[in-house]
Amino acid sequence: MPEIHVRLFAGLHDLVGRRELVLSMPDGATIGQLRDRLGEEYPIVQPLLSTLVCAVDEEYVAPEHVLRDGEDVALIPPISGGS
Amino acid sequence: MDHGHLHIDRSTGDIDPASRAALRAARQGERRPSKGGRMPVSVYIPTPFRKMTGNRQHVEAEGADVREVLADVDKQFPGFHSLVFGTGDAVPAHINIYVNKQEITSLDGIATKVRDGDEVAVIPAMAGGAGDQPRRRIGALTPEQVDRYSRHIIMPQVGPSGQRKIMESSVLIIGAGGLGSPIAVYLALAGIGRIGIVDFDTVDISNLQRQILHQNDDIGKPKALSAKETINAYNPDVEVTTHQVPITSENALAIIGGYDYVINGADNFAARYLVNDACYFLKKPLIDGSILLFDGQVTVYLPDKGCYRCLYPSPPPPGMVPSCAEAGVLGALCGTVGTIQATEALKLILGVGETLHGRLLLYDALAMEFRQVRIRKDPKCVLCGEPDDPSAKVTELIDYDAFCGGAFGHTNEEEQKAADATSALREQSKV
Ligand SMILES: [Zn+2]
Repeated sequence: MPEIHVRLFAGLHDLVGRRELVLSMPDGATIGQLRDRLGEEYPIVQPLLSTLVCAVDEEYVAPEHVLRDGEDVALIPPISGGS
Repeated sequence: MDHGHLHIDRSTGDIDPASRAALRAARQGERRPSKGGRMPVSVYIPTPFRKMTGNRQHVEAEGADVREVLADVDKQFPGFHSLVFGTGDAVPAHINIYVNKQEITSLDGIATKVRDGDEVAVIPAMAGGAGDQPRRRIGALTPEQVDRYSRHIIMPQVGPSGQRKIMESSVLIIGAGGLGSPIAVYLALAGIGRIGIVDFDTVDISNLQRQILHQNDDIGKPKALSAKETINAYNPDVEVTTHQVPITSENALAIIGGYDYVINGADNFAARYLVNDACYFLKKPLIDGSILLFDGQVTVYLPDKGCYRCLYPSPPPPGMVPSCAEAGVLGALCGTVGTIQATEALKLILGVGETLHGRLLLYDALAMEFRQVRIRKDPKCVLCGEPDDPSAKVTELIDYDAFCGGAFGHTNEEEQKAADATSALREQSKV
């Protein structure tokens, strides 16, 4: 079971109440599934999930990306503030 | 084509009539066939309308008067007429039409006769007077300018020619608020030739915790005006154009078309998608930044190399990601993010270094960490790519209120939440 370090960015960490967490995902799980898991554990973030930019080791990846043990995942929501 | 004999007016970029005739002769071969060897009229298409004409600056059309000429342009480029005239038939107030540099209201209006070889120009006038202005030209720097910009000029990456590039460029800043303030101040100090400010709001005391363009005495003043005064107090050489209007699908192309670079300091998703789409259609580099609480994001979108929609194809549901008014923002954070945006704009203008193009910079002020994520153009982007469903392709500005599921700008609900939060704060602080 790959252990994935997940870092949550602006807007998302405020909802979850944590900036980092570790999720154990089944072998072969994709980052899309990890995103869904986050929504199961923290239902408040559910509506944001489809808008998140997912990155692995500082590189954008598509939801189909298959996770590997020890990978660093960043989940980044859009923010709109400017004023 | 030999351009050696052209005479171009340095102040306006205009080509003198003799040179124009020579240019025409040189273009003879590529002109579409015309009846009886008639010389068609040349129609100047300003940047905001050029997406209609396959990015061509001049098109040729025939007709006895301006109305017929424009009808012929519409025949060649269907949709041109409605883009310029809207739904009506009269020339809209914000459009000026010129025949050989003379505005047609001083002639016979839309019925003004044209002759073979005339030039018709269709120019959108902006709120505040910025048009599709010819590029400004800076000759030798004055001794005062050499002193003022000496710390730039001595850097090998800038030098006198780099400083002239800065002084010849125009930059549009969306929003004169938290991000727009440091952006405008540093670009003004750098000597940017023309700065446009889009903001329809007035200065409120709650802005003064972070918006360094405005001061106590400015409370109640339109932000765009306050911004202009501050910019010119710092550097009187900078020409400031104020656009005291909400940016909308109706005016975005005309406003943005008048500038070389766009910097986004908008504070809602609808405006962010609108500015992104307009910059894509007009091929303007966009320096994007956004903030919330202790966090910031910055990146650069270059024409045809990816866009905001590649990164965030759809906005979050309304209310999911709070605005600064609802959630708050650290004042100094605006300075960090805004000055990074200003830095990126200056690098683009100078053509030096590596910009944030292709990278999303993430700033976490609480952890005091900068991270970056490599991003890419989405080949299936509905705006700049080829979506699987061709009917999903965005080919013109849309209704961004509907797209983002809420009212444009501050919603009443947001304003109410912010007002509630402020009065709750007042109550708390009494304790
Ligand atoms: Zn795109």
